[in-house]
Amino acid sequence: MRIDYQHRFCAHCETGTISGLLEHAGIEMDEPMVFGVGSGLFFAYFPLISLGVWPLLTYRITPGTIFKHLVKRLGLDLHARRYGNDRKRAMRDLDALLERGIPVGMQVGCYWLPYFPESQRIHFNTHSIIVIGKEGDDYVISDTVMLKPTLCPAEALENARFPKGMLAPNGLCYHVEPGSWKARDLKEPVRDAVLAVCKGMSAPVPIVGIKGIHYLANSIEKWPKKHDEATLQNKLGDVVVMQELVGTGGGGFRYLYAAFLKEAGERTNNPRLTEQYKPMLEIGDQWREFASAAARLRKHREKPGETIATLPTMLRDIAAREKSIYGELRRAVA
Amino acid sequence: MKKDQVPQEQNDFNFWPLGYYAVDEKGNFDCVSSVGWQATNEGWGDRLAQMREVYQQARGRVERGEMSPLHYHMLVRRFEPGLLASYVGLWGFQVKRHLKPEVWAKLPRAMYERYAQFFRMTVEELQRLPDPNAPLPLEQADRYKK
Repeated sequence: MRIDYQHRFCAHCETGTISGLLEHAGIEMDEPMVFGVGSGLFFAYFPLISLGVWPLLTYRITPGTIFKHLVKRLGLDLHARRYGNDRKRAMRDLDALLERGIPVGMQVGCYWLPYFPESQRIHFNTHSIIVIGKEGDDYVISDTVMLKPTLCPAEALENARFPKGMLAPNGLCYHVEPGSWKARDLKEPVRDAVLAVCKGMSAPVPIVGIKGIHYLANSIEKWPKKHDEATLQNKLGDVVVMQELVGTGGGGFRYLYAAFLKEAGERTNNPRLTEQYKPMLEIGDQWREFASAAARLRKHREKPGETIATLPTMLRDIAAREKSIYGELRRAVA
Repeated sequence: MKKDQVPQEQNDFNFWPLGYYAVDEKGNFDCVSSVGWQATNEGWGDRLAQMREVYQQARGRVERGEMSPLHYHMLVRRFEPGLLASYVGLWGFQVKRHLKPEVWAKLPRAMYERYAQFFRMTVEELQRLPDPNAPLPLEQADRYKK
């Protein structure tokens, strides 16, 4: 049995999954809108916390927060629940929902998903997938990182829903009750969401937002003195990976946010908001240029005149531009 | 980023396609799939190569009798003592003790069975190192890869 669900290939698993569920239920919210109205854009660098070998360097808010914001701002009837350690009930509830023809989104640990290639089987507990059917002992899974739906044995899915370690989902799953949503004006949700991003990015905390970008710049400045060649290479490589590889839509989510600004401005008749998509797109390009320069430097392919000291300068440039764009955004929605 | 600037640089470790929000000439956004980008391919690929290195070093330590076979079986499945402990229902310090060959040798059979069951192997396989040419355990699980 397989629900007639239109598979989507998306940039980011969490926003792609929520957007897939909403659009299936007839609510017109594509991935950028989900990301934007969930006020997903952020920056934080926690040098002392690590995810496996990778530093906690993030360009988005914590997993699950986009979901909460979206439910609050749009008044959505998204049913979410966790199961502690009750695996049987979690799988029974899933089967019951599939039986009713409702696709179910869930948070899983990607270490346990057998369709993941070996190079990505790491202990990362906040991947999101949609289950859209069951065929024999296999569940049909629409995973936004894949180009088409795939199969996953029931036992593996159960393990993936109940992994241990950091941010364990405990079977967290969510679905949209069909016909439970009334169309509502997007003006207020978009305003609140944009202001929340501006607030988060200008937080008076040294390691988050604009200050966090400066903090990363200062850290990179010190790396050549503090670390040997091999460690320096790894550290620069990790920054590139955290920014560009882990489902960010490119430029550390800045492209995704630019897409949101354009669409949100058009849907709420706010040309001042739409206008801002171009500078945001350029900021994304700057982030990408920064990643590209870091990658060149760590492999000694740098352009003439490029040194490690170029990277902090680029970051400070980005920070200055981001600071001004959040001011513009505040004025645009006020 | 413009649509025609989306990089298509293949990697050799079979990573997922990446989605990029890129614009066309009219400024319309679309999620474009990319097979990879040299910058990130190198970043991830280097870490993968280092993992392989770690497995080899672990094998050496077990062969020289400095560590118990659990050390190798644990690392090759990308577990840390603390995380493995939470899966098999022990405390982290217990798993750390079991990495010492002299402690490992004296464990009751039930403890071996507990690890063997979690790793999906027999107690005999748990007690020795696998063939160096055999595929790594995570590589064997590609049954459903399409």
